[in-house]
This record gives sequence, structure tokens and C-alpha cells, in this order.
Amino acid sequence: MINSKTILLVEDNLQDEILTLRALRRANLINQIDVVRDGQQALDYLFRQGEFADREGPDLPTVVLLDIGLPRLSGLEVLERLRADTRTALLPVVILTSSDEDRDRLKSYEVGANSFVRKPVDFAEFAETVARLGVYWLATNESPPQR
Amino acid sequence: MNIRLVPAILLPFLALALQWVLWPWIAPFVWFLFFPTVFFCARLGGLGAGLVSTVLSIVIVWFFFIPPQLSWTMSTPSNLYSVGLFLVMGYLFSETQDRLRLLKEGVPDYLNKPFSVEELLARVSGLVFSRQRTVEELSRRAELLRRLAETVEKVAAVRDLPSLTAIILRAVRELTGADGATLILRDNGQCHYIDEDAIGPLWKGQRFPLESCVSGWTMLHAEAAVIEDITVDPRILYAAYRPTFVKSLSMAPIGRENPAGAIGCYWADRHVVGIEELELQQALADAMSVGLANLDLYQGMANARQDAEQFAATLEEAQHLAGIGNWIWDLKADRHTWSKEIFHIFGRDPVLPPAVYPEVQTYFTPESWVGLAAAVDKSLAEGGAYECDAEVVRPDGFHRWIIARGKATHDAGGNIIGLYGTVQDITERKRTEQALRESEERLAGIINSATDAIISVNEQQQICLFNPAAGQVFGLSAEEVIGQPLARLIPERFRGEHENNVRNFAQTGITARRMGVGEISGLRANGEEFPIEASISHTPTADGRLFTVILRDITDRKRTQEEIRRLNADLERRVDERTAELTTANRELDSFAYAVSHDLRAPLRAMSGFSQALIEDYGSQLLGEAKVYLDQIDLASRKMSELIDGLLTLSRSTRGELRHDDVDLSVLSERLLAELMQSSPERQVAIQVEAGLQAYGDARMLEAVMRNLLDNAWKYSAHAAAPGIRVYAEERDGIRRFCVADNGTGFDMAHANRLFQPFQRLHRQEEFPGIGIGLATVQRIVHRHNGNIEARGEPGKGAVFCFSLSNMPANSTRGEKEA
Repeated sequence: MINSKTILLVEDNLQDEILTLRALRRANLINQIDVVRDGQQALDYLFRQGEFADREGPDLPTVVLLDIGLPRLSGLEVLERLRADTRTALLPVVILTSSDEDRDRLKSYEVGANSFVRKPVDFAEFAETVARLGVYWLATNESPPQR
Repeated sequence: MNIRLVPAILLPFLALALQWVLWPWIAPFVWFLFFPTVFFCARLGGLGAGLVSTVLSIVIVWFFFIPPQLSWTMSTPSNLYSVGLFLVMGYLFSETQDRLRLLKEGVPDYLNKPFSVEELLARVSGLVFSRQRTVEELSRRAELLRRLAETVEKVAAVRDLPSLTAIILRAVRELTGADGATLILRDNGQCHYIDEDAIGPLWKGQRFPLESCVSGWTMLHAEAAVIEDITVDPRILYAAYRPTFVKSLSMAPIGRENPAGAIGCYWADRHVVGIEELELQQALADAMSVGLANLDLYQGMANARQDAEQFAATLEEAQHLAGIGNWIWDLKADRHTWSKEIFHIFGRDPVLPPAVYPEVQTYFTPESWVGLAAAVDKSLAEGGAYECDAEVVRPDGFHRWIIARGKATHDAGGNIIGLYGTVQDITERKRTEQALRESEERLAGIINSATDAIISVNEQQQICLFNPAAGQVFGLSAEEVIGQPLARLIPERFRGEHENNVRNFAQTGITARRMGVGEISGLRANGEEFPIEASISHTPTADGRLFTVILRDITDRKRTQEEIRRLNADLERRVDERTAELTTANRELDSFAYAVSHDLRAPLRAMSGFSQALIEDYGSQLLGEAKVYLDQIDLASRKMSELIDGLLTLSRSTRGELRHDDVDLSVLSERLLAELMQSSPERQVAIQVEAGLQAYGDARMLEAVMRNLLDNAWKYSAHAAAPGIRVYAEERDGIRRFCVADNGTGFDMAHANRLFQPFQRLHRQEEFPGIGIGLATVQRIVHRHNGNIEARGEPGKGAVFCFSLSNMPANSTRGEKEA
């Protein structure tokens, strides 16, 4: 059951991506993890458009881990678009970012983030945080029902 | 010359001598010794001698005794009547005595004739009887006359109506033998029965109409009335008589013309009134008339005296009110008279006599005396008048100013016989004049020294005052413009309008206002126009209204204002530019901080992460010191991460809006300390937090302040034997300061200035780890609250950090911030 759930990681930083994927893997979360590198790609992926028009797998991931500082479209803009679209309005989105700016945190919640997590600089902490996130959203949290 | 006239001439002079000597005892009975004189003269010399002595006596008495004595004038008419009476009496005496003498001389002749004894006896007895009767009659008449004269004299001396009435009525009854006598006075068309002297009550106090009363008839006809039977006479109102005893009456008018009243005689039995009775009654009525005239005269005199006294009192009062006294100097008698007001003005005791030369000199200042004495001397020499001011020095030392006026008086021959004059107190006027003069001088001083131009114009717009400042402003002198039209000072295009404005202003009723609606200008002598600021006022004067303009040349001010405006505009522009630059810089700083927080962390995390991952995943394959190096990479990245965090905190503390919250620093401190205790439960630290430390500021920033200070206190007290941290407040110069003290490592005050600089540390990393950003942050926050922070420390003893959140004394802090 858990294996059918997917995670979309939107991360432009290659190191962070590797470390995130490593942390999730080491937490035995072997689900499908798709990675996109910028905001536009994220939207294309979620709405099956552009280069992702023929993508396989379920319509939507179980959770989106979204960075803020992204090329093309920022994470917050992506989130706004998602919330504006009925298909993705209820999609769980976790902001995962290096920023601890209040305004980012505020803005994130305003536009409808389900969670805001700061990437710890300390690797151990980071790994643990990411692992817990994965477990929580994939195992603990119940997704919104299909409409 | 007939020998009989000798005594008739001598005796009156003898009587004169005697009466003159005895006058003090005899007065006022002027005829006292002259009755016997006439009597003896007539006795000795017969009719001629009697008449001569009578006339002589009258002349002597008139001149010597009738008041006023030693003159031919008479003070009262009664004396004239007494003269008449004396004349009548003298004649009667003389005639009687003459008859007696003739009788005496006829007896021998008669005896020499042959008579029968019977006839002779009969004739002798007849003669004897006749003589006896004559003697009786004569003595009776003499008595009557004496009484009459006495009465007349009493009347002359009497001073009031009741006494006069009593004397007359008594005499009437005595001389006429009537049973009653009344005095009736004419009073407002009625007969008023004033008084009565009778055997029974008559009509005292009653009034009857003139027409219905016999007394009224007498008064109206100025004629005596004799009524033998009251029951038959038509003039009698019988009803009025029925209750009385009266059967007959006679009524004599008082005064021969337009009688003022009547005197009535009444008899209880039918009585025929004889000529003699009526004459006596009339004589007494005449005396009454004289008496009444006398009373009027006395009353008039008394009134006149009273009027005179009242006038004198009024005059004195008027003099006092006016501050004018008068004086008279009688040169012949060398007598000085002062009115009371002069004593008052001179401050001299009124019981003293007027001051005369040389004493009077002491009442004046020497200068005044010289002037006054010269004026008086001139007047005395030339007989003219003088008037001069003089300064009086009173005995009490006060000075008063007077106007002394005087004038000489002359006798019929044109000789100067005295001076009279007035002294007028003009001290108040002098003072007022003095004050006015001073006030004018002051005003002139102000006007002349004023830096503003002051110009007055009359109703014809002609300049009548032009002060030096005005001269400077307009480039004209006062001599050039006085009397000239004001228009000369006004640019031509404004003249009409100005004239209208002034005229309108005069009608507004406002006495002063600023001139001109917009900007107004003046015209200098050289034709240059210049901006002015002016106010105008008007004051009524005897010659019409006076307009005064105070104006100022504001050319310089205009220029300065222009300069200031230009500078201000410039300044504003530069401020705007700076603000824009600052805003840009701030924005850049923001982006930089954001970038730091975001973008610098990721590589760090990568460095730390991958070194960790290496150790975890390939730790067993790492050789030698490789693992140590990886650890150092991790350590360095962590350190850099802390530095970034510190930089961010510092940056944030100076950015963003400063909020104003009520913050309880006590509660905050307790919470932060509890966190610290939780983080290192092994440490035993004595905590002391003063309760109720209320502060006002940005809550999050204040939390950062307290967190830094408490973290430091916690950290640096780690090595103390018995660590203690104290949070409290103190007040200095009225400003409340919050303090955090510890008894830890402390610091050397020599380095205190480095404490608050970012990235500066007083301890080595291995002693106390840290990045040196905390106190810099604290100081920035405190400064943003307009407060300050200071540190006191001593190595090994501990440190105290005190900060304020305002530069205002505590009681006004809150209000200032809210304002």
C-alpha cells in the first residue's frame, strides 16, 4: 500500500537532492520519488503537461516537498498556482527550505502550505528531519479523499 | 428874653448830663429823665417853657439816646412813634400847667371883688372841687401817658410775637378799662384770633372770614369800629357773641394803611366808648403795628445773619473743593486775613494768625519766593495785578504748587491801601503736566530710537510725524516731508487704492490693524520700490483724526525668506535622494541577508552532509587521518552556519518596523532561564529575578536582548564556585534601567569598548565558545529603542549589563512614545 504512494521533490540544488534522497532511502521509504528542478517543471509534472504530458504513475503524488528558492517559478508561486487549481487545491505540500525568514514562513502558510520545515544545516539533523517527514506524510498522514 | 424860658433851656441839658452819666442803668428807657424835666419846666414856666423844653428834650434824646446813638438816624420806626407820643405828652403837660397857673393868678383878682359870703363860699367850694377834679384828672392822664410810654418802650425791646401780644393786650385792658382785649391778625383772607386777655373766654385760636367779622370790617376799612350794642349792629355775627360776656366793643386797626390786624376791646356791660379810650386803643394798636414791623425786621435780620453764615460756610467748602483760598492785606492797619483754605494749602495750623513777612518766606522755595516777592512788590508800587506760579514748602516737608494771584486796592484818592488775592493749589495739575511731559519725552525717545519707521498723517493725508528710522528707509529727512502728502512715499499705482483703504479704515471703528491685503510697497526718494510690512492705527485728536503707520522695510527679509525657501527645497530634494538611496541600500541589504540565509546554507549543508555521509557509508574504508579531516570539514561548516545565523540576527535587529508592546521582562527572564536550566540540568545556578519589570518596546527584539544577556550570564558563570544570576531594575537620572548581573568570569574594563562590536570577543573559543555577535545585536536593539546599554565588569568577579529603553524620564516615557 505504502509503495503505491509517491513523493514529488522539487529541489534545484543537486547536493540537497542527493542528501534528501539518501535520507529517505535510509529511512526505508522506497516509494517512487520523483524529482523536478524548478517551479515550472513542478507544475508541468503535477498537471501532466509539457515534458510530463505522458508521464506514468498516479495522477498526483501523496506529498510535494517544495523548496522556495527555485529557478523560473519560485516555490511560493508554484504553491499559489496549485491552490488555485481544483485538482491540486487539497494536495499536501510541505515547504522544505533553507530559509528561516519569517516572511517566507508567513507567506507559505498564507498561500496554503500544509507544513513548513527548515532544512537543518547539520547533516544528522537534516537526515532525521527528512526521514521523519517522509514517514509522517506517507505513513501517518491520511490524504484528502478523492473528489 | 422871658425869664421863664431859662429853666426850660437849662433843665433839658441838666437831664442830658445826668442821663448820660446814668445811661448804663437807665437804658433802654430813653425818655427816663425827660418826663420830669418837661413837667418841671411847664410848672415853672408855663405853656411856652413846657413846649420849649419838650422840643429841646426831643432833639437831645433823638441825637444822644435813640439808637443808634449820636446820630440822627433811627433803627426802628417805634422810636419815631415814641417821639410823637412825647410831643403830645409835653404839650398836654404844658397846657395843663398853664391853666393851673392862670387859675392860681385869677383867684386873688376874684377875691378882691365884693362877694356875698354864701356866693363866695359856694364859688370857693366849687373852685376847690373843680381844682380837685382837675388835679385827679391830670394825674390820671399823666399815669395813662406814663403807662402808654412804658408800653411803647417795652414794645421797642420785645423780640417775639407772644411777648408782644401779651404786653399790648395787658396795656389795652389796663388803659381802657375794658373787660377783655383780643389781638386779631389778617391771615390769608381770614381773621385769626391770635390771643386774648379777658374775664371770660373769647375766640382765641379761631378764624373767621374777613367779611363776616367786625375785625375784618376794621381791617378792610382801615377804620376803628365802635359798637355800643352788639345785638343791633349789622357788622356783628351775633351767634359768635352769644356764648361770650360781650355787650359792647371797640375795634382799632393795626396800621393805618392796609392794616395787618386789629385790636379789640370788649365790655361786659353796655358801654359807650369815649374818645380818650379809643385814642388809647388806637395808640396801642399803632404800637402793635410798630412791634409787628419790628418783629419782621428782627426776623429779617436773623434770616440775613443765617444766610450770611451759610454763605460763608458754602464759600469755605467751595474754596476747599476748588483748592482756592483768598486773602486780604489791609496796608493801613497792616492786617492780614486768610481764608481757611490758605491755611490748608500751606499746611499751617488754622488757630495761628496768617503768616506775615518774614515768616511767610519760609513757606516757599527760595526761587519761588524771589519771583513772588518781586510780583507783590511791583503790584504794591504800581497798583496792578499779578499772577505767578510758586512752589510751597509746607511745615510737614511736603511741597505743593500754587498759582498766586493778587491785586491792589485803592481808596477814593487813588492811593494803594491794600492787596487782595487768591492762592490756588495746582499741585495735581503740575504733577499731571510733569507726568505728561515725561510720557511725551519717553514716547519721543521710543519713536526716535525705533528701528521701525513711524509716520503720522492727519486727516488730509499730510505727514506730521516722520521718525529717523522712516528717514533712513525712505531716504528723506523729516524737514523734507513734514506737511507733504503721504502719497509721496507710495508708488504711484497704489496711491488711489491706499487713500481709499485709509478712508475705509477710519470708518471701521477698529483702532489698529495690519495694513494691506497682499503685499504692499513703499517708494524711496530715489524712485526705488521696496516691500514693506506695516500696521496702521488712528487716534482722535483735537484737530481731527491722526493716522499712525509703523512700517518696516522687509527687502532683506524677503530675500532671506526666498533663500530659506530655496535651501529648504534643495534640502528636501537631497533628503529625498538620500532616502531613495537608503531605501535601495536597505533593499539590497535585505536581498543580501535573504541570499545569505538561503543560498549560503545549502553549500554548507552539502559540505557537512557529504562528509558525514562519507563517514557513515565508507567510514571503514577511510585510512589514517581521513576521518579527522572529514570531521574538520563538518566542524567548519557548522561554525560558518552559526556565523550566518549571527549575521542574520544582527541584520534583522536593525530592519523592519519597531513594534510597541508591553513586555514583562520578569516573566520573560524566568522563561528564558528555565530553558537554560533545562538545557544544562547539571548546573546549579542561583537565580534572582525582580518581579514586575515592565518594559515597553518590540517584544521579539526585547526577547532577543534578554536571551543574549542571559545566555552570556549563563555561559560566563559556568566556572564560578557558586554561580548566580540576577535580573533587576535601577533608576538613574529618572531613567529606568534593566540589569542582568552574573558573578562569573567578568571582563577587564579596559576592553569594555570592544564588547559591543560585532565579531569581537574577549575570550578564546576554547574557554567560552561564541561568535561575538550577541552583544552587538543587543546594543543595536537598545539603540533602536532610543535607550543605551553599558557594561561593568571585573575579571573573576562578574559582569553587569544595564540597558534603558528610552532617553526620557520614566513618568513621561509612555506618553512620549505614544505621541
